[in-house]
Amino acid sequence: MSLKEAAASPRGTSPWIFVAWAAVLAVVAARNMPVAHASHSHTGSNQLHISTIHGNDGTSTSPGGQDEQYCAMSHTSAVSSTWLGDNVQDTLINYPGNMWDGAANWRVDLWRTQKACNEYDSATRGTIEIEYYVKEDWWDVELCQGYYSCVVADNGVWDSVGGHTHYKWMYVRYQLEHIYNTTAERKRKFINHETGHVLGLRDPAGQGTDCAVTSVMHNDLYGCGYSVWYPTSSDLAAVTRVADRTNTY
Amino acid sequence: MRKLSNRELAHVAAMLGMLVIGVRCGPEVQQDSGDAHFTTQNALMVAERRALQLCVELDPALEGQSEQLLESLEQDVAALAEAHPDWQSAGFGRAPVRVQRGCPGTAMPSGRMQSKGARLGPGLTSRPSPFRTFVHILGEAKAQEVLGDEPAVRAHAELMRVEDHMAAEVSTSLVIRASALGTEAFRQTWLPTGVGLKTLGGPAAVSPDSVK
Repeated sequence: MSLKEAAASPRGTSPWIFVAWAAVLAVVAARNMPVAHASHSHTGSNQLHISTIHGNDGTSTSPGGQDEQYCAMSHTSAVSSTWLGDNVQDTLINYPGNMWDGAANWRVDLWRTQKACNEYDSATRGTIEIEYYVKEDWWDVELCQGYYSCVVADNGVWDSVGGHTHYKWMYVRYQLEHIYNTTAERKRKFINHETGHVLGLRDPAGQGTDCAVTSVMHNDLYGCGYSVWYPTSSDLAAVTRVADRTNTY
Repeated sequence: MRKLSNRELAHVAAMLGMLVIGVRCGPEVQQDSGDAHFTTQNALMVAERRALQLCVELDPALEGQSEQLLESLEQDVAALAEAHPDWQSAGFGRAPVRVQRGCPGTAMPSGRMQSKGARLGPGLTSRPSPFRTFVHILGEAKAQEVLGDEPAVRAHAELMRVEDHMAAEVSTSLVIRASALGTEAFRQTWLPTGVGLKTLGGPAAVSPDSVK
């Protein structure tokens, strides 16, 4: 090596080596960069929702066909259907500004049935849009198993106005430990989160993702740094877009 | 052309090694797993479905009438296609409707079925069948056992997971009496329900006494 070359590369390495290393590292970094996910609840498609969300034809004293009726049914001796119904009702309608009832300019209008789901005849039960269940575990339901509260959308019907299928019936299954013998806030988080699914909102892409927009769909239970238990203004706006048919296919 | 020094050769070897390791250890490029794709953009519910297909399970007691019953069901479907205002927009007009014997993974129902939330079919799956609707046609004796006084029962046949903890029906089971085929009630209420369309008329819904 000449003195001139040594001066250019003090450690005896040609400049092209640095350039080549930079290129290699760039390729490897690009290959291993985490994949970004779109914000789950406020964009996109396939946002399954209850079919009655687009309209509001009830009165202040009785529901209409475009309102959402819900019943409760306990599958455990630990709590009664009435207890479950009381707690769901409390969360859904007793926190003005922080609740789903009244969302989307009252196109989300939630009415509790006076009896448990299984106390209605089949024709009447068929008119109830949302059924809330609770049990110690749901190993008999593959979607929930022993850990997760979950939602099943049933009885799809084509909406020719919006050009999408939405669902007449939704079944919300809670793990008992999510809503019983826990704090009031944690209980409400689960009740509001699963109801958010009924109204068209999605889960985050993964733990600790999609945290930028504060939402009951991805709070601290999903690894985000906030503990919100109620539907936020972003959640309510997203549900309004679903109701407006501007956030679905 | 200048010959590479030993030091430069070592760098080149290290770079190649880094490239191989870095690329191979990176996340897999998503391959087509063969799983179907859920969609709400049409009433077929699965992107891979190209046409409305119905499969039929017959009560063994009706085996002698199978051709006649299938023909009757095909006529009902044709009448619905003609009468329903949403048939085309739902995506059912893209290709001829197919009706065929034999539903995948389904036994004939036994015992009294619930009218809501019942399952009759494969259940949760990532690869649903091509059939949007599973039709179970029962003779009168079997119908009494399964339906009781109900004219028919719908159930979910196949569900797809659409979120970690959320699933949606993509195929519907329709359990009917053989005598219901060809009736107005079947054409206006049960068949539309079974393929995911609004009912055409029918009795007004009874509403429970709900409160705020």
